[in-house]
Amino acid sequence: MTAQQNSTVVAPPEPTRSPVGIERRRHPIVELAKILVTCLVIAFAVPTVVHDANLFLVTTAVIYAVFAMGTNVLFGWTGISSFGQAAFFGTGAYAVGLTKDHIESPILAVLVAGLAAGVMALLFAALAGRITGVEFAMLTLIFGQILWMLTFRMDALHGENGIPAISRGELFGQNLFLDDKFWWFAVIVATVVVLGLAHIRRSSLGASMNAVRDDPLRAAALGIDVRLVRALAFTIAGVVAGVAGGLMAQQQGLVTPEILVWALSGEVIVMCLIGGMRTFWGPAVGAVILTVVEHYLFDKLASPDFFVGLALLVVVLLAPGGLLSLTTVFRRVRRRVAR
Amino acid sequence: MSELISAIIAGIAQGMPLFIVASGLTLIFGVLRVLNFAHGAFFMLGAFLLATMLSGGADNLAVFLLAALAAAAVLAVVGVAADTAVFKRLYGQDHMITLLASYALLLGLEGLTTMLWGNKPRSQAPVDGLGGSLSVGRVEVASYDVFLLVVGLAIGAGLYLLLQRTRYGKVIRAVSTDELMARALGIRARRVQAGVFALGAALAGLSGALMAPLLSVDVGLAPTYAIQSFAIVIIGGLGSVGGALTAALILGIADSLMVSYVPDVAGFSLYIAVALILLLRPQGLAGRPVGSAA
Amino acid sequence: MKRIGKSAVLLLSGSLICTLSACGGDDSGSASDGGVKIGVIAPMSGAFAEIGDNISNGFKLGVEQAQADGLAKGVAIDVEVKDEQADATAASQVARDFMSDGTMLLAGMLTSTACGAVAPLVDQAGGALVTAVCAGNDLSGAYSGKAPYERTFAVAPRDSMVSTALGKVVAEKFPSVTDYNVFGYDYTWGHETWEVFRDTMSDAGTTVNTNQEFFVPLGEANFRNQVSAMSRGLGDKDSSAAFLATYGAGTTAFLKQADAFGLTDKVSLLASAGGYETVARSLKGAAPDMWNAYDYVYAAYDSPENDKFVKGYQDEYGDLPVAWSYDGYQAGYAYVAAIDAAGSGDPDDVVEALSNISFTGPAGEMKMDGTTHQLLAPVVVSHTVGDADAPDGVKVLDTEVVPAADLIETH
Repeated sequence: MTAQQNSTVVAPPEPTRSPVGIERRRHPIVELAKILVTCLVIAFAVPTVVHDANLFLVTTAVIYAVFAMGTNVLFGWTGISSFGQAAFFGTGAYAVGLTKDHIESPILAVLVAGLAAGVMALLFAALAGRITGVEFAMLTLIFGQILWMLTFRMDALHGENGIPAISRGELFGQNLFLDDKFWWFAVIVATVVVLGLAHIRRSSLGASMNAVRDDPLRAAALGIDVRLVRALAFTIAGVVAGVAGGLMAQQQGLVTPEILVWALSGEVIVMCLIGGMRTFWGPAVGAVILTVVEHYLFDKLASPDFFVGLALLVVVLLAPGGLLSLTTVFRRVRRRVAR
Repeated sequence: MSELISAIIAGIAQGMPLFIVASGLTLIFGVLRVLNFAHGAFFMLGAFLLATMLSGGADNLAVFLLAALAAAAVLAVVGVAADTAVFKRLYGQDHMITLLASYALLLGLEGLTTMLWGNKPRSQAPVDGLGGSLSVGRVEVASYDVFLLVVGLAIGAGLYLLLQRTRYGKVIRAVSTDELMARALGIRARRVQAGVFALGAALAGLSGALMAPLLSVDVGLAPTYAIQSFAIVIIGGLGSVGGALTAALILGIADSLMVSYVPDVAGFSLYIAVALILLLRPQGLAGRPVGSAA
Repeated sequence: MKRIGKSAVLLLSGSLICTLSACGGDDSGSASDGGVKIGVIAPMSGAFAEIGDNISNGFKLGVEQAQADGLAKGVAIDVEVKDEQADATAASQVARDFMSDGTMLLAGMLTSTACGAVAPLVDQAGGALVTAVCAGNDLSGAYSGKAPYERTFAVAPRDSMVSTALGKVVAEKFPSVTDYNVFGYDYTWGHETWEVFRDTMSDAGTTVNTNQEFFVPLGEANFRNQVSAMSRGLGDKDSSAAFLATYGAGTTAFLKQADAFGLTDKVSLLASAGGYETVARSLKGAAPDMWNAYDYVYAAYDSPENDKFVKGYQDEYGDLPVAWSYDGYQAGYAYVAAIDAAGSGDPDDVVEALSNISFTGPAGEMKMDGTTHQLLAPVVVSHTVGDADAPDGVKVLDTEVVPAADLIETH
């Protein structure tokens, strides 16, 4: 995936990907409108059939979906590996926790969460800018671990007890304390994030990210500032992770160091992978499936780990490009049938 | 002065087990470019197998070593099975996909361990005769740590000789450097990869077996050493055995000095050391892959 | 590509929603047939699964034996266990699952973080919660303060009560041991456990000199540097003690790695606060001479109630009960006593009843403090040593029961 690694192994034949700009020729407004409609349909449809605890679970899934889509800016769009995205998710959550007595507006709280995580990510990217590949991933992991350990060392963060009693606040006179109201808030925030990501993906920055992913040397030769693009991608992923973490803090009403544990950084990568990193919606689909399926397996089975592992193995063997990559298989079949 | 020497020796004793655990990981990563998350599960299985075979006791070193090697052999078989069933089908795919596969394998094996051994922690007593400590002047070292030091150096030397001095090693290096060319020359690359995976898994199992007397043998064992091992593989330089050994010793000694002299930040020592090394030497300590040097 | 991509998304989300609504709609509710359902939340998978087994087994036995004692006679009490994965987010989700299905009486949980996540939910939803193991100092009113959560009750002694008990007993038995070498988990519990112990000792007039302190990150298992440094820094044996603020795998790893240096023989006292029995048992006769304070030890009580619990547990599950089984048992017994007093499984009535229940448990007369919502249960300080011939490989040399009243007055 990186220049360094590829120099020591012959790169396998790359799966054909359609370069940005050729695949999508539709008008941007049409594109954004489609996303908006999709989100609205989900927002209306889900609460009609899913209630109470299950609605809460699906809300959690939506929050993870936002987190995963942000993370995919790194993995899928720009080809950056990070094992420490929980650091930014956690930064957002703790930002909401720490400002709970000062910020009443839930929207402002989420913005602060995104800002805090974004600043953190930008600083990190600036510091580690010349490091790439698996070494960069290691640094992100270390960064996450250090933040996790600091929660036990800094009195204001209250160690494993965390920050309790975080209020969700009110929005347009609606008390978000109720889970079905909070569902709307989470979906609206998610929609805004997804629209923003779609916009970036269509922009020249998005094209540069893809160029950096496919071949950093060539991208540099074409005049792209590779370091800058990487830093921007990292910051964007950080902001989105922070927003998701802020939502998580509001939804749970509690922030604890568990939110910074490195396993979560791994889990969000798994979400991206099972959905498919090369598709826009893949990470979101992966997040929803993993959250819901895992919950049910853990609820119903005696050795849930075994079956979650088995299910993941089946996915990776049958659809190594992620579940959404299966759609290309369908397409091929359909074409053959049509002929 | 004796305080400093003691601290350095303790650090070596701390670092050597890290190298033993990381050795299989660095081999698999260096040759196959697979960051194998399942390594922790192989490690755990090695510990469980040893504790089960010896039912928690060990009368003499020969029996203990035999059992450890038997555990390693079982893990080699598990490694071949994992390679055949999963990884063989994924070579040539994006590295992230093999990473996901190894994570899935980790979960599956963790669940399997619970099914086979239940939830209760097990314990492995130290080998008779290796339970105490040795004193040289005012410096005290655990006998078992001296044993691990010898084993670790043997593993390091063995891997070096295997990769650099044998025909098989040449074949491995050829596959690692240029798989297509190796195939064109008639090397059965897939078979070599399976062999490397088996060896890596066996080393993981061996390390689990060797660490069993020092740890609680339970289902929480898989992530133990995980971050340290990955850190060692990466700062050691991609797939470099010598680099991994150096990295493990540096991390062990750095931690020991921090514990002795700046205890307040001791918990952070691993991270501080790794971050400093990566920032100062992003290509890793060895900085060259298995193919060029060890 | 895009069109089929979206239809695939719709298909997938459709099947997920099906799982979540229609197919998951077999909720039989709670009191459908006049019975009462209690939801037990415990870590049933992962590294803490053994504790989860202990809690849920103890709880079921507590319910069974309370009913056998004539409490809530004829009421069909159904206990369902769900996995909290020792994670606050998962705990809060399964608590919601229970309450959405109409199961409003909840119990269990291991970590204070999980209890802290569930307690406010239970207040909001109007349920009831009896916590089993979690003993964070801010989960009940602790020392004569008002309970922070109206509908949450604790059966296990607070963490600070456990350290206080240890401090009192050690101050009395080892007045000349003054130089402490501390090894603990680097988080709030680890630090507080040590500090409360130290302060209790000082209050009792014993000088406590912190010779060395080592706090390690949770999940770490390689302690050679700490062991070696501690061994080098030890003073005179007669005045030296080692204090462990760890539990589970961390305690095991420390003891095993310290063994080579004979560390436990170079101190006059080895003390720890918190769960230790399973560690001692896993060491199969090799456990060191240890003074430990925690919720329960089977050998501490000589009463028909205790015999009944120990025998019942052994018959049912094959092992001697540990403190976590006892905590589960206490929670189960307390619930049935409250259902008996309330005359129904209605959560409001049960909460009302819980705030002044009393019953005779394995540790004697138990009474709930209506203000703090803390069951006034004693702490057991035990002196044990590994012995391959003793039951489960651990010989109990001495036990001292410190009543809750003594622990609450001191702070």
